[in-house]
Amino acid sequence: MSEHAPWPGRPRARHLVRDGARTALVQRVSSVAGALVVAVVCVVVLATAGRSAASEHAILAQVDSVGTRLLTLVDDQGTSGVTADGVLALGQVDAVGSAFGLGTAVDVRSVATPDGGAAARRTLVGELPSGLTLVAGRAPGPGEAVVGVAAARTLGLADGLGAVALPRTGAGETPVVGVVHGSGPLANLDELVLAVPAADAAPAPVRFVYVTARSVGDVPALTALLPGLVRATNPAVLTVEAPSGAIALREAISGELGASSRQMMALVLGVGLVIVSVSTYGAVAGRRRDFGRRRALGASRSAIVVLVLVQTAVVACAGAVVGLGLGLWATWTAAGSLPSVAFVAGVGVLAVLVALVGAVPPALAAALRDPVRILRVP
Amino acid sequence: MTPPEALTAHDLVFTYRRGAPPVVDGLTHTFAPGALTAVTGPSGSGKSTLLYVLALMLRPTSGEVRWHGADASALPDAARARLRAGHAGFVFQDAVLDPARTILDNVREAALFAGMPDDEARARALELCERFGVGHRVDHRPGEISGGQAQRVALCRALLTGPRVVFGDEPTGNLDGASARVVWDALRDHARAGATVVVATHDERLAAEADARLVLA
Repeated sequence: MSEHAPWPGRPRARHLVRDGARTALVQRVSSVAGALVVAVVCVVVLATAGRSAASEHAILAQVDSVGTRLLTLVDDQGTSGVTADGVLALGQVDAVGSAFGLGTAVDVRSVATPDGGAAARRTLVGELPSGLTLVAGRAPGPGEAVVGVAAARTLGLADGLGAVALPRTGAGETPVVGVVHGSGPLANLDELVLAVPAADAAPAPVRFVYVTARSVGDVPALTALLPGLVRATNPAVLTVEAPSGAIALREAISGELGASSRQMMALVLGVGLVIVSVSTYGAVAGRRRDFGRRRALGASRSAIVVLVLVQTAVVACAGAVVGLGLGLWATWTAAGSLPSVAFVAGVGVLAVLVALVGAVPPALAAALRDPVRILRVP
Repeated sequence: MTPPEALTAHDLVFTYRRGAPPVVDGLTHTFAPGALTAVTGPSGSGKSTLLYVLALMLRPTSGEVRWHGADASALPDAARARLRAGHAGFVFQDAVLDPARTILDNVREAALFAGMPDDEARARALELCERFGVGHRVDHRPGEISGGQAQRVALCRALLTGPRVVFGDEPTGNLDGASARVVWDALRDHARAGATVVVATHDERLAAEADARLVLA
């Protein structure tokens, strides 16, 4: 008799987990069958609901690109009292992704070709917006300007570089250091000369404020609060233009595609749960003597349940990894687009959870089976 | 007076189904430590059933099974499992090994539920396998060894944790004379070291060598 006995009679959690994992490895037939079921569930979910989610993802990205998050604050009369400070203050608001303002329009001509075409110059308050692409030159510093591609043509600035000034008097000469191109809702900026005020310039009124919300969900609140947030002295003259039509379209797309995705996924996962449960019942039934022996060796009922669930979790994780890989490949091949990372991760987690839930009844059956009936030799 | 380490049955009754005749009927007996007790009797006399009741795998219909002076049979399943894992070993008529695992892993299985540290379990398993002549087979699977070797592996598993109580349900029933002798002597040696060993057997010759005998009718 060992001098160390008795032992606590309580298995260590990590030993149970390790044993469950080893059992999954040595019980190859049932493990491969279980992993296959989970893999098929993942592939089917991705090939059906995942494909819908990928389409939804692509369509929503397209809808969003036309400005579902862009709000425009307009001061038609120039009497709202919005200044550069108010625009810069918007950057401190959590729901605001970015903001910039444009001042009053003044016609300018190229200094090199004073008899050429004229373009509108507006003061730019804040950073160059992300929707503008710099296609030549560099970003402007204080006292410098960039021109839109259309304005560059009008002004005769072939390479986009030069200087602009007020017509006739030549006053207010501003060096032009780059050319920008606006897309989507910012395409109208292509017609403008955007001038960054010099450091010592007097404060000028801001006529347009462009605000990009961090998410579509923030748009309604920002629409209501924007006139106050820009510190206007006369907010009544301000109007807010919100992309309500695009938002409604976005919600309609999201609702329709999302509902069909969820229904399909619920169906596939439900079928998967039943199959996992049945196959685990089969695997557990084939190991009756194992469980009987383990009960005799001191495994409690809860230890048997844990062992079955750990084994199932290991098998399900392996199946989910394989299934997600194959499913993503199939979705990409068939649809040319992929669902979001969150969707894919969610499918993997759900598939493993479904396998675990499906394994609970067979695990309980294994734990509750009378070990004596199994072990006794007739 | 009952020794404090003893295993006792007190007015033990066990019935498989309500209304059926009891398989164990009013048994009171003390299984002393340091002794191998042979439980004998004809088939159907309740030898195996008594063993499983004493091992806390079956709950008695009435009466008590006392381990170390406490009524262990009234404990909930988890507590009875802990007692088995921490204090007891079991040898069945069949070796009941896991065919998918190596001999060494089969022996070490008892350590899992006892909470015995890995390194100690491995060292002790190798030592027992050497002692019982299966040391050269530790990396084999049960399907690759003989019945006698398999029963010796089961014996190693039962003794791995150095249990204070060992139960044997016809542990020599399927063995040839030489293998039966190895198993019997090992159980008797374990009893000599201070453990309580209870063995159900049909083998009158081996039973006659036991330190004590309980005959069921």
